[in-house]
Amino acid sequence: MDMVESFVFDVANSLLGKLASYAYEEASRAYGVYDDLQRIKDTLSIVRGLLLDAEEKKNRQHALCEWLRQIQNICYDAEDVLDGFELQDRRKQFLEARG
Amino acid sequence: MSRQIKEIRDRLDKVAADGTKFGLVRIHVEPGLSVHRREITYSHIDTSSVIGRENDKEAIIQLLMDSDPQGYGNGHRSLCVIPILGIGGLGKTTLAKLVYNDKRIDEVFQLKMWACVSVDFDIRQIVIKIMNSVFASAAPSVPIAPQEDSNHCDIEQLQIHLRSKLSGRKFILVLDDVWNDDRAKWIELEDLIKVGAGGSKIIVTTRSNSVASMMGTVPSYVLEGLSQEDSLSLFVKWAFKDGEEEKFPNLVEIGKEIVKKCAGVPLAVRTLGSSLFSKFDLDKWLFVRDHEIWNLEQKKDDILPALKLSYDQMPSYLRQCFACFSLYPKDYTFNVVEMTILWIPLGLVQSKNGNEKLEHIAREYIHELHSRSLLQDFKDFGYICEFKVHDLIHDLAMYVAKEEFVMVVSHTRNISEQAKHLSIVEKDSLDKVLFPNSKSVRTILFPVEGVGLDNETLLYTWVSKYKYLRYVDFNDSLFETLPKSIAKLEHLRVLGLKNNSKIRRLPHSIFKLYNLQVLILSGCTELETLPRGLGKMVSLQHLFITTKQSVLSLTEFINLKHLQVLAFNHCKNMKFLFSRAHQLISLETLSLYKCGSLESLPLYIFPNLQTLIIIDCKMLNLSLNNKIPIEKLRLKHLFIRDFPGLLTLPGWIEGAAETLETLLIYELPNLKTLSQHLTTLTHLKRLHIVGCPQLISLPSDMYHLTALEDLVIEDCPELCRKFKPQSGEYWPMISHIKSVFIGKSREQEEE
Repeated sequence: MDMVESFVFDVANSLLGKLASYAYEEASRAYGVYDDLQRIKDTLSIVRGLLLDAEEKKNRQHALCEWLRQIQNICYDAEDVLDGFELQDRRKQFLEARG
Repeated sequence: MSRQIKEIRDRLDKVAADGTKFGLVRIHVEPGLSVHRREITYSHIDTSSVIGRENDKEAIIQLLMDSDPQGYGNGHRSLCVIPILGIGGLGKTTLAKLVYNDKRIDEVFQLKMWACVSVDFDIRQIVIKIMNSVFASAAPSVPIAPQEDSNHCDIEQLQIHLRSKLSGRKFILVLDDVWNDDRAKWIELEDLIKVGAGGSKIIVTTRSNSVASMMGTVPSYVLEGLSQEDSLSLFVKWAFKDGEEEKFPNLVEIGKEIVKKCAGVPLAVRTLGSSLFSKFDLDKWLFVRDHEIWNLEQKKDDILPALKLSYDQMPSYLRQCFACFSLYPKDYTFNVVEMTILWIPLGLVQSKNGNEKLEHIAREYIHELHSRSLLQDFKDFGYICEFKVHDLIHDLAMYVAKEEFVMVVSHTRNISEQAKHLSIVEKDSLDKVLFPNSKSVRTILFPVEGVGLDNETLLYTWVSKYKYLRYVDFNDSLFETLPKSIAKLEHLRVLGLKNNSKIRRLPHSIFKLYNLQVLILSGCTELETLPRGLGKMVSLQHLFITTKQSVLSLTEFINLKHLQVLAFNHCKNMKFLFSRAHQLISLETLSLYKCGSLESLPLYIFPNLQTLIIIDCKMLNLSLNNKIPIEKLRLKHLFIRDFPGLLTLPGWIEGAAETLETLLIYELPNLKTLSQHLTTLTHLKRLHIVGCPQLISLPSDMYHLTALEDLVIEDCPELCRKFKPQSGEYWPMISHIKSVFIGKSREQEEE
């Protein structure tokens, strides 16, 4: 039975949810990274479709474990960078409050 | 930022290209519908292999024999559905089989049918299974192959066939392992089979509370775990050949400890017992005793796969939330607020349409986990909800969380570089453990009382290394100051310093944490003043304060436009909440705990307050500075405790007549009357009166409280006597309420 679990599907899912949101689209235009983010979104959608099959097969093909791990790490890193968008917004409010 | 995004884009492109060489197939399903299934069950059972289920069996048989357990009166022909509820591996199917094979059942029912439903609630498949079962029980010796026959029939023919078999006969049907909570599908099946004679019964086994309450016509039979003795007998049965155990008393002793891990769940007992069958090597037994269940090898019908099915059935959004339970020790009492302020900052709570509040969604997640039988001892006090996680479910959480969520205990040495969330639960662990070098740790918490951080070097290392920290809770820690560099943690959303009695001031730079949503300073008794610049922490939503200040400046709070929860703990010198009259529009929850000098609580400051908690504030006069009535009070939950000065409930309570759902009054030794307005609270769902000995009556028009469904009266001798169930003189006044507890303590009653 499958003894290694990972959250890669869930993490990718949640990231795609974020990327699809209006707030991110707006922000990405403002920061001039719209095209890059769309590209990330498209690639990740394709990859997500393969994840479940990869989870099924990873016990037979060890390289798949590593591949899944890389994807997961990229998703986490992407989340950290994207959270930066929100931060910029907050920062603006903060500077205003600071006067 | 754009450089970082390009870098991510390129990395992803490369990895995606790498992926093509694996020949992967696109699968377009949510994991909730994934492929792991349990084995199909059959009705056969060897009754001698079952231990400790006699009472449960008798209880179910009683229900089956009762011609009218719903109490509809004679002649009512509707189907009676009895749900058996419990977590995976508890023996629901086994119990159903025991009942199904009892001779008394054969005498009462003309027709017996067993259908293993499992994950797909496909009407056609279920009908076929029922039909096969009908054939099998009608003519067990005739070797027909009804399955193949019926596979060729269309659904219409099948249904006609089934109806003609059931029509007018008194039957018992077991629907085993039902997961479907789609009411429409159930009604479709119900319509098909309700042609039987009166007194026909259906037994449903399920792990899901919502399935049970949707299908059941009588209250669910909640299956409990086995006793330790029964567990041990079962264990011995699986681990030894008959009588062989007498030769190995030392192994049986170890067996006793092994059995404790199983928390009364027979499948777990069987799994561990059979893994040791005919192995008399002491080391093997010690290995099982000293390792977590999820580290032991398992076959496909063992306990972990059985439990894992519950995880496989979980929607994607619940999985990491569930894994968070692994950060807390076994038998931990969770509360909903605590989970909410962990899940939301970690980005695990997703709003579907962007409008709904994340707090509400997080609470729904909790209820969803509860309805999947993953939580237990669930206590709902309105705003406050508490629950525990069954030991084996905790094992499951540990198992799925393995690398990313790490609970550090005293024998932990290395932590994976993949670790994202760390909890430290044993004090002596910190000196020996190697923390990951990866920058990407997001969570550090100390969830256990008395286990905190007093090593400032480690604190500095963490703060400088883990720059993506989102959640830091240094509960019960002792250090004198926070490093200034904490202000650089721009992702930080939660900072907890509860019960740090050493810290005197916070670094001035702390106000730069403009992303901080939760700041917990309760129990920091030596803290001189609140940080200057508090008002600049524009993201703050939850603020828990202990301060020596006597007056707080409202100007600091006015800018906190998102502040929802404000708690004052042990603010000994605070006489007034704020120095100036101004409103905190966003505030929804206010908690005052042991603020011994506080004199008044002007509610107009908080026009949107929903939850008010007041505990042990000696000088507080609840009526002072409050005009009566207060217009537009939106209070939903009111909790008052330890308040000797209170003789009656404050008059402003009537202002909440349209909204108040929860009223909890505890330890009010001098309370003589409830408010005369009590019965105008038509939305009141929950009323707990505990430790109010001077209170001798309730309003006679209690029946006005039509929404009331949970009434508790405890430690009020006079009231308890008058309202004693059945025999008390005023019992009829409250007997209509769904859940009533009158007596000494709730726990006693449940035992």
